[in-house]
Amino acid sequence: MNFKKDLIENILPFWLDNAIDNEEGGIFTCLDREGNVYGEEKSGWFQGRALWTFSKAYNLIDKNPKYLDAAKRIYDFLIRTSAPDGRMAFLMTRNGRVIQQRRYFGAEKFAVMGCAEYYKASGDKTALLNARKYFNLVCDLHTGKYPTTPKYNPETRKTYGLSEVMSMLWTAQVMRAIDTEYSERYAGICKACVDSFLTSGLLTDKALLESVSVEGEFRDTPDGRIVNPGHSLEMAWFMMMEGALTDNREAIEIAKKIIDITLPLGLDKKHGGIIAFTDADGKPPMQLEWDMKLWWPQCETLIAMRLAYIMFGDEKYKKIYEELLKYVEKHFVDKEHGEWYGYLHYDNTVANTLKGNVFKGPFHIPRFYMIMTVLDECGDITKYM
Amino acid sequence: MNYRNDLIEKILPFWLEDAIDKKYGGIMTCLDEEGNLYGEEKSVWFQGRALWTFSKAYNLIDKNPKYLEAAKCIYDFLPKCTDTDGRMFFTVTRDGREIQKRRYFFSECFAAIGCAEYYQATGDKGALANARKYFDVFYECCKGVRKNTPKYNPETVKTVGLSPIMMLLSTNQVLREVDTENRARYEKIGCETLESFMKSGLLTERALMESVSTDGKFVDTPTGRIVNPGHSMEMAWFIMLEGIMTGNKEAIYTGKHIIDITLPLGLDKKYGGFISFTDVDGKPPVQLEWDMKLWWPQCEAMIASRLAYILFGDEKYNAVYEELKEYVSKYFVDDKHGEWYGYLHYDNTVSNTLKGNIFKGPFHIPRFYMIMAVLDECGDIKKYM
Repeated sequence: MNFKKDLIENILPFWLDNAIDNEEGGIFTCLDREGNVYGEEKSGWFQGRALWTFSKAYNLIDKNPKYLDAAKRIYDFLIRTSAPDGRMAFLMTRNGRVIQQRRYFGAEKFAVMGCAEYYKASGDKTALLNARKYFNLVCDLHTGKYPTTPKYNPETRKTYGLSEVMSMLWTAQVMRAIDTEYSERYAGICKACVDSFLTSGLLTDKALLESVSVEGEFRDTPDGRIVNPGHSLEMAWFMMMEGALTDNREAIEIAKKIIDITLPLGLDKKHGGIIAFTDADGKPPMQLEWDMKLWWPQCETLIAMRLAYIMFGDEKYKKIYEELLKYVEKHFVDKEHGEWYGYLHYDNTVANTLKGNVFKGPFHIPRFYMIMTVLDECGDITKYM
Repeated sequence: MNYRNDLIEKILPFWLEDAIDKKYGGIMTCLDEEGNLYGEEKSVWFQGRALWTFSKAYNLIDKNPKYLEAAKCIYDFLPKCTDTDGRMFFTVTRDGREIQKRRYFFSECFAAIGCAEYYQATGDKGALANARKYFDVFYECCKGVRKNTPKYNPETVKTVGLSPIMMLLSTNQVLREVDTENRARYEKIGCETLESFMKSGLLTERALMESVSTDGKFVDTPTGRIVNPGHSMEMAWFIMLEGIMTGNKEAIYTGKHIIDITLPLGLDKKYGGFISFTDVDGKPPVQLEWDMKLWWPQCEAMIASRLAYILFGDEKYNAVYEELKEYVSKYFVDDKHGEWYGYLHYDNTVSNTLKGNIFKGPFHIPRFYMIMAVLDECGDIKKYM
């Protein structure tokens, strides 16, 4: 694949041409195979994610004014539709009224990175102030200073989850790179995330688990045994990048361990690709879609493999990278209408022809193409930050 | 299939032997292919559902003391699944401590039918009192007398769903037969529920929708366009049964209409079986598992088709029933280990070997076998009530 060319000519235009809402602002993500909008409800996650993507593409790949225009439309909508304290909806009407407000704060985390990257692209100081505002809110939600209703009874199920520490790490990584005035604060948070992860017990000899008890113990229940291989490999490249940026050898070595235990769990030896979920002990997985092939785990695995090859020089990583790249070109890339399919059956036939929904939009795929472009050009992941 | 024999020899024993918790009471439903327990957390839906199943099998099929013992073991566990406000939890630990309490109120309606049927089996007046108590809580939730935190913002989402209406109709049918002292009350509720369904707008010329706006209009969004064909077929036989029990011809014809519009949406012409979800306009369905074959829609489609054949004599219904019966024997029934698989891929290969989880346990399948046993014996569904 020619990553830079495909990003500029195929991936980003698919969203620029079809998804930006020129009337109300913001971005739609429910696009069908050809790019037609099949649902006007707006994803809270994707306002921040798409803002990040277009701003980052502008900063890193091509100073195309269209990217900045799209970013501005999304930025204005995101700010306009946030509550006064910064909390964001999970799902909104086209004009930004709340449909669903969830306890999780993914939308706010994506808003941090979106606003920060947009500040870098536009020089708009208020965007930086907004990035800080969302970041402080995320910290308060993370520590519980801003309380949310727990989903499970904390007396019977109190867990430490991979998602929380992982998303806190990359949110702080982005801020550290952009909000230089306070970079020491963010560096401290990154360090705390890495340390907390290393002592969490999430990484066992069998797998990187999605959750453990707060004491760091394996929970031998269906949900405690869940492994999400794409998520594990995403964490692996976050750790490699953090190691490269902060010269932390331990983080890099841990990433290698994550990769080596995850590959046998995630790779589908028969049909190719990375599966969606598995049970660490081979018991029945909880998720109906466990053996489906989703777009984003393929992206994360490709990034982790290529970085691992650069860092460790082991040919096995290169081989997996090349096989998976071929697999993705064959089964995920839609040569006729652009972008990638999102959901394949276990046997790689297309399960759903949609190109976007509240979970799939311009994020994992363009991020993958951007990182690959940087690695094509200089082989140095720190240049991507 | 010899329904009566299979029920007594293959289906019920699978759960009697492996699922009943002799230590703490109640039933565990996370059983793997062979019947081994892979998770100890208890589904509260399944306490009521299994209590109903074993009590009903005792009342209707076979006065086997083992059924009654199992029922008692589950009945005695119900107080641990019930919160101080009368509402029930969604999941509890093996020893009966709350894990999750949800806004939905299906735990309560299953407890109501379970207690009612257990009263029928034992004559235990306390069980009848509990049936009334759970029914009242459920009914108050249905009517909005008991307020729940809404999932969606009521200012932007004003919809009515099929599920509460359907569950009220079905739960009320059980109570009406069992709680004879209050028969007039349940007759009134049955009439009201049927009327509210007919006026709801859920049933259109194209499909029975899962939700519509409160003023009865089609909601043209991805979730508004959802059709769940197994659910539609279940409603079809609920409403035909209501028509038979109350001498309401209109209800019986409404059931026929539902079947006629649902069959083309639900039947997989290429691979056979009933799919899980579809979009009424053929746009991308929301659910990842939309084209998977789940166990319960097959049960509901067979009950509805067989009943329609009895009522209307049209061979096309018989053909659907016979084809599905063959399909299920071939792909769902596990001849080696007993019971049915729950989740098949689109092409009927087994996607997950589990026999039970918090959604699959002794309910739809034994209910299907019991109804079929009655129809085999006398062709009169009234005898099932």
